[in-house]
Amino acid sequence: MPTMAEELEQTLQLCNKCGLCLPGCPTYRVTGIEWASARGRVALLRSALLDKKLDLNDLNEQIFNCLTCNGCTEHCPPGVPTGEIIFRVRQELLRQKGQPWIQRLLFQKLLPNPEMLYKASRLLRLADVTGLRTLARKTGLTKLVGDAGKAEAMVPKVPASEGLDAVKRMVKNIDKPKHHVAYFVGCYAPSFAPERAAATIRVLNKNQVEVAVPDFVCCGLPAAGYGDMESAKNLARKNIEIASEMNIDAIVTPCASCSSYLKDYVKLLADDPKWAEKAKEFAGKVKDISEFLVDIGLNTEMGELKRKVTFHDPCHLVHYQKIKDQPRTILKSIPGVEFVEMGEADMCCGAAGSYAFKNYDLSQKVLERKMGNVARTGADTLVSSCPACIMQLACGVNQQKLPVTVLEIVELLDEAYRNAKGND
Amino acid sequence: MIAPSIIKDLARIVGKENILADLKDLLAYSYDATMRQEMPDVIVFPRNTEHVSAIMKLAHREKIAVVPRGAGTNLSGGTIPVKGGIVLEISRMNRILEINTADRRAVVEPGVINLDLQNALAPLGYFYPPDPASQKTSTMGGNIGENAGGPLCLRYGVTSKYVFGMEVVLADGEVINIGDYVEDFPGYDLRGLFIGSEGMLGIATKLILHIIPKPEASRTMLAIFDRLEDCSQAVSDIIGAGIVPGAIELLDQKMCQVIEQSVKAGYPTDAAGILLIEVAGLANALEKQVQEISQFCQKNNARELRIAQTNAERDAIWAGRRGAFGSVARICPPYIVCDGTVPRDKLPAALHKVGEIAEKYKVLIVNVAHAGDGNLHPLILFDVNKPEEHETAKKAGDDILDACIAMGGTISGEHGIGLEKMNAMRHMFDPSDMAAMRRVKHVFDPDDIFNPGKMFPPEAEAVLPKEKGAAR
Ligand SMILES: Cc1cc2nc3c(=O)[nH]c(=O)nc-3n(C[C@H](O)[C@H](O)[C@H](O)COP(=O)(O)OP(=O)(O)OC[C@H]3O[C@@H](n4cnc5c(N)ncnc54)[C@H](O)[C@@H]3O)c2cc1C
Repeated sequence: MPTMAEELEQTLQLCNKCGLCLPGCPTYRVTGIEWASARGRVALLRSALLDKKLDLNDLNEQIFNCLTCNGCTEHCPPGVPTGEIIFRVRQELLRQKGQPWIQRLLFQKLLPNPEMLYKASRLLRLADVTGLRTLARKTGLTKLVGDAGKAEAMVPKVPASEGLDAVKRMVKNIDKPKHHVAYFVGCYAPSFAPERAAATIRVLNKNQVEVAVPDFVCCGLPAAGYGDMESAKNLARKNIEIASEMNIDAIVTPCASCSSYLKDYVKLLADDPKWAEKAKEFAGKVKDISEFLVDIGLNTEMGELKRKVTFHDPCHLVHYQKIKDQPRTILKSIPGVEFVEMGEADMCCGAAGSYAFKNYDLSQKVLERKMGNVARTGADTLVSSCPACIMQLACGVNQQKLPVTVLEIVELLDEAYRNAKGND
Repeated sequence: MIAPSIIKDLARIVGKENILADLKDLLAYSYDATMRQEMPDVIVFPRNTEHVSAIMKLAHREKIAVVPRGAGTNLSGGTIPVKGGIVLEISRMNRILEINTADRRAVVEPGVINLDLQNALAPLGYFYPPDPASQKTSTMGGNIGENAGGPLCLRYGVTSKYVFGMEVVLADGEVINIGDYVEDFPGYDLRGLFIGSEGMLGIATKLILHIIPKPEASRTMLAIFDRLEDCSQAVSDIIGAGIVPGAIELLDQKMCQVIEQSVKAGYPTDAAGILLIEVAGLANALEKQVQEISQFCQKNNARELRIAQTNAERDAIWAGRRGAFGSVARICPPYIVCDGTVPRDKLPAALHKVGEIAEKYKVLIVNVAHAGDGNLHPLILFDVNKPEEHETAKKAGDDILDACIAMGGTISGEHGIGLEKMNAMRHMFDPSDMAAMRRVKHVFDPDDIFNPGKMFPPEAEAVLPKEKGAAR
């Protein structure tokens, strides 16, 4: 087995230090510190792994405060995959140190099991109704848990729903379906935003797509993000197995992080002879919802929406999947919508999955920059296509008291279809 | 090494949160866009002129080296702290203070990124002409430090033409203002001294820049030639006829081949060279210019001429040029960019010479040139894992610069001297020329604390310059 240093040597050497990545790196833009940039992170990893001038453990901050948004690679002439390098190093650190119990619980117990996950989210709900949340805040309990405590304000209020089963009950048979898809609901919607799941299904139905909601588990990205590749692989195998038993044209999700990671199963399971082929077949079917709708030819029988709309590109959509035009095509085809492009639309909002919980201050600075860009457009509606982004953006809009509504792209589409003539 | 008490003093000036001094910090500020590396002792992020002044007073008293730094994208080793000391990082002084279109000026702090200024000006119909290829990243302070230029500089001129005035902190911490809000002012014009001084005379803390309205329209064309000589002759003819295009860029065959591997700009891969020509100005004056340029290209045996009809076609033509360095980086991340200028009519001879040098050292050299002003950028490729190849490539680079000088040109169009071209300075200037420059340095920085060890080769080794071309 090659060591990690041997494995990464070639990739690290690719960087020629030109610095063109700096403007694409949100953490550099808000701090101005070289080591908070891709060039800096790569240079320090080179110092640690190849030149042995530093201990890897001295670089915890640089390794874990990377948003892995891939904004750097977009600007990088030799295409250094800094995000991938960071992922690999996190994995190694995890191997050396082991995983904190809370992450173990989340990645190994909760995420592989929709039922358990749902129950955990119920606990949050309980905290809501019982006022425990307020208690925790008042007693300073949230302070004790550090950055995660500060991020407490970000945790969405949990509505009363019943998880994936409720989403399943939203499924309807439609007349003469042209396409059959499996809807990858993701972890977020069933617990926190069942109305978005409903909107997704209605929008797909309006496009003559019949929707099935199987018992998919978490896509595996959160586990991989914290370096737990074994958990990620187990989740992947389970999802592939579920899909292989279905007769479907595509696996569709409105969550950019999910679609991006599901497509990555090819890489994740490449070395697993039993699963590599199946992973390819699976990934070939995965589509982000905008990508899918544009592919099949969007139904444009919509009603008018009087909204001035701007779009925030989720990193997992624009940088990971290079999907940039499709959401704009969709927004521009809604009658009445005035689309305005914001500055730095493809710069990360600072959510980056659970990043915002662990690096609260930095995440907030990145968010403030995003809100400035949003405000300058004068838009009244901010659209995106990733639950983590939506949560972060809504939080930003609240903090800055902007007169802006934050919506997922499916919600806006749903609204437009509902407004169509002949609908009531 | 500087004493820990100095770091405490610095922290007292700028606050703890604006100081970095751990090993990892020092490593992160030990390099720039060259392949060199030296360690500083501490990095300081001033927030305002008072900070910079206080830091300089301290450095002056303690005789500590200070290296001003923007984004660290210079290609000459200009921000390598060869004598350790303080890296004075201006990235947090990044406010645009004023944009005044009536007076055609913008007042900015030096940490403002070139493109951020352009983006602020664009909605007003204005722009700031110097457009280095690094404009997304590089700072206005760094642009002034290196007197940066770009494709548009053929028509508009380089950075030095667009600085009305600046606030500068001197080596002893004194704050002075040079230039003014207007072109013409009484007294010595010190701007020329400070622009392009590579952080060796003072630190700019405020810049008063000249901005101009965007031209009404532009036309872009691509001319394809089977002989490089024809390419260059066309350039001479066009400029000789009094036409001042916005840009004329030359790319040779190997460069086109490399670009087409990654960008797919539609450049021919079998032609000896191509010219990208852009004219800009009043819409109805452009058609005539386009016709004249077409005629000069045809007269010089252009085998094909493409004139962009749409914005998309224009973008495609430029995409290749803009992606040139990137395409090279994709096949060979560590390459050397040479930066030399020859009189325009010597361009074919210079490119020919570059070919000979490539042959001699058995290295791959691809060429792009700001042909309009005779500025060549031969890119020398080598294998980073073979130190001996790096050495060979450096030698080839030195030979190219010598050849430029021999043709009556200079060793730097725009990338500065720093460490990379220190030795070539000897071939460029008489000992007396250089002594005059050193005296200027001594007046402003008698203790040699500003960016020491740059630009001038060590005195003891000074040698007589090589034979210079007749044109100089
Ligand atoms: C891919 C690539 C393409 C490039 N293309 C071009 C090009 O087309 N044209 C061109 O001209 N250059 C080009 N460059 C070179 C480089 O980007 C320019 O020299 C740029 O001006 C440097 O800006 P910076 O902010 O990175 O400055 P730095 O590299 O940080 O500093 C450059 C010099 O300026 C001094 N300095 C910095 N700030 C101040 C200040 N406030 N006061 C006084 N001195 C200061 C420094 O001490 C140093 O000597 C390119 C570089 C790269 C990597």
